[in-house]
Amino acid sequence: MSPVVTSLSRRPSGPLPSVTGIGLRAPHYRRILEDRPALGWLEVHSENYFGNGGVPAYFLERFRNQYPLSLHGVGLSLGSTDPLDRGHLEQLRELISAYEPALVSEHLSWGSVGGRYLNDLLPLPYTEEALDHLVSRVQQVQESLGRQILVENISCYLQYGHSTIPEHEFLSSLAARSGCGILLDINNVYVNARNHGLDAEQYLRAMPPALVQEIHLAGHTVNTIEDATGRQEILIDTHNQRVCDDVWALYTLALGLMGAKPTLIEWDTDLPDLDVLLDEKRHADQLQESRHVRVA
Amino acid sequence: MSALRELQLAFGDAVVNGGSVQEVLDHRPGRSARMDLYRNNYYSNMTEALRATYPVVEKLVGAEFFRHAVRRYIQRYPSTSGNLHDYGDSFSEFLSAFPPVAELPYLPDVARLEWAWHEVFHEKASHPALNLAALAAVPEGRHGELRLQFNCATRLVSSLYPVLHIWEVNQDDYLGDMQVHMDEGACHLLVIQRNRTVEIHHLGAGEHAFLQSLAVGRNLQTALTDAQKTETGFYLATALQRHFQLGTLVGWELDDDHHDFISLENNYVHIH
Repeated sequence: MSPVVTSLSRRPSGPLPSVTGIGLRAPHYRRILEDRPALGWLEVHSENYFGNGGVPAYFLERFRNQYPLSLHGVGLSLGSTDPLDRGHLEQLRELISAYEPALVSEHLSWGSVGGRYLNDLLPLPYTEEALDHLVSRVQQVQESLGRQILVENISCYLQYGHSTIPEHEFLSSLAARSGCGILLDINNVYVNARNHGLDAEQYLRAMPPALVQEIHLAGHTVNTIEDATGRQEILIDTHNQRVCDDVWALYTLALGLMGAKPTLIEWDTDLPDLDVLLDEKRHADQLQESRHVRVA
Repeated sequence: MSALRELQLAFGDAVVNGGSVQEVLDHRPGRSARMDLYRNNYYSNMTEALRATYPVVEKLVGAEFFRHAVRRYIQRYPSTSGNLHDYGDSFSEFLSAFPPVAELPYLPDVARLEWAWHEVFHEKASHPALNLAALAAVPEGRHGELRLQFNCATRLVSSLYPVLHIWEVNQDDYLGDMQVHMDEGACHLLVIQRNRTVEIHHLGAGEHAFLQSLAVGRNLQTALTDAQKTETGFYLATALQRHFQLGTLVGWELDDDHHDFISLENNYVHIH
C-alpha cells in the first residue's frame, strides 16, 4: 500500500490556522483541484463521505493532500434522548482515522426520537436536565472517538417556555463540563437574536475566548410568518447568500474579544460560483488583518 | 419518562403528523407558524434527498406528482439514519404498491436502478488483485470449486422492461430519440463503479444468472449450471474474461477446506 503512505506524508497536519476556509461542496471540486486557490482550510459535512469510501472519498483524499481539514457532522443527533447511534459514531471514527482532520464538530441540537430520524437540527430546551444530558452525550462521543469535538450553536425558530438558561451560558457550561470546544456560528447568534429579541453582542461578550476554536459565517433569509396569534418577521438560516453587514460587524467585535480564530464561509443552497466564496473569504481575512493593524 | 424525552416525542409527532407542542413554547406570536417552519423543513429536506437520488423517476412522473408521492413515502417509511444518503432504499418497494402509478409498471424497476447507481457511487471499489500465477496453479479438477469474489461497488439489476433505455433517454445530456418501446423487453444490468464514475452495462440472461449465483456465494460449477439453465448458449470463458476485465470480479478462493484461504487482496497467497 505504498501510494497511501506517500500521500499521508504530504498531508498538512497540526491545528487549523487562524485564517479563513470555505465549506467544500461538490460543484466546486473541479475548480479547486485545478486552480488550487489559497484557502486556509476546508470543511466538509462528515456524512457525505460515510460508507466505505466511494467516489466522494476519492475526491476528499485529493483535497486532503492539499488543505487542512475540518469534519462537520449534521447527523449524530447529539441532544436526542434515544441511545447514541453507535453505527453512525463508528463511521465517523473511521472517517477521522482515514482523513486525520484538525477539527471535528457537531451541533447543539437533536434530530431523532423513537428511532425516527428527522434529519434536521432541532432546538433543545435550555434546562439543567438538558445540560446534564448533553454533557453526558458529548463525553460519550469524545470517549468513543478518542478526541475532543466542537459543538456549534444553531439557528432556532422557536423558544421553549420552560428554558431557564441563556443559550450562551448553556453552551459555555457544556464546554467547561464536558471538555468540548465551541464552534461559534455568528450568523446563528444574529438570527436567534433577531428572532427572539436577544442581545447578540452580549452573547459574544459572554463567550469564553479560549473555548471558541472555530467561527462560522453564513447568509440567511428574512421571511414573514403569520398565524392566528399574530404576524412577525423571521430570519431563516438558509446559507444561500452573502454574509450580511450586521454579521460582519459582529464578527469584527468577536475578533476584538477573542482574537483571530479559524473562520469558515458556509454556503449550502443556491451555490454560487467559487469566486463569490473566495470574495467572502478575502473579506473575512481583511477583517482579521486590520484587527492586527489596529492592535499594533 | 424524562421531561426532555417527553418533549422530543411530542415535537417529533408535531413535525411529522401535525400534532401540537404549543403548550411548551413561549408565548410569542406566530407559535403555530413556527412549528409549520419545522414541518416544512422536514418534508422539504427529505424530498430534496429523494429528488437527488431519483431524478429519472421524478422526470417520468413530473415534479408535482413526485412531491405528492414522496410525501406519502416519507410518512410511511421514516428515515432511520442520521445520514441522509441512506434514505430512500425502500422507494421502489413503495412505488410497486402505490396505486396511482400502477399504470407505469416499469417505474419501480427504474427506481431500483437509480438506487443501485446511488449505492455504487458511495461504495468503495475493491481493487482487482488477481494473482494469475496462483490461479493457474489451481489443479484443473478443482476449478469448479473456486469461489469468485465480487467487487463491492457493483449491483445487479434485472427488469421485464427496457429500464436502461428509459434511464438513458431521461439523462440531462441525452440528445437522441426519446421513444422507448416497451416491447424492447427485459434487460439485465450491471451497475459498476469504474475510474470514479458509475457505469451501467447490459448483461446476457445467462451472464446475469451466472453473476447472481456467484454474488450469493455459490462456487464456479454451480454458477455455471445456473447460467446454462437460463441460457443454453452461455459461454463461461467469455463471461469470465469480460468480468475480470471490467473489474466485476476481483479475486477468488478455494473453499472445500476452510484452512485453504487464498487471499488475493494483498497479491500473495496464504495457506495455513
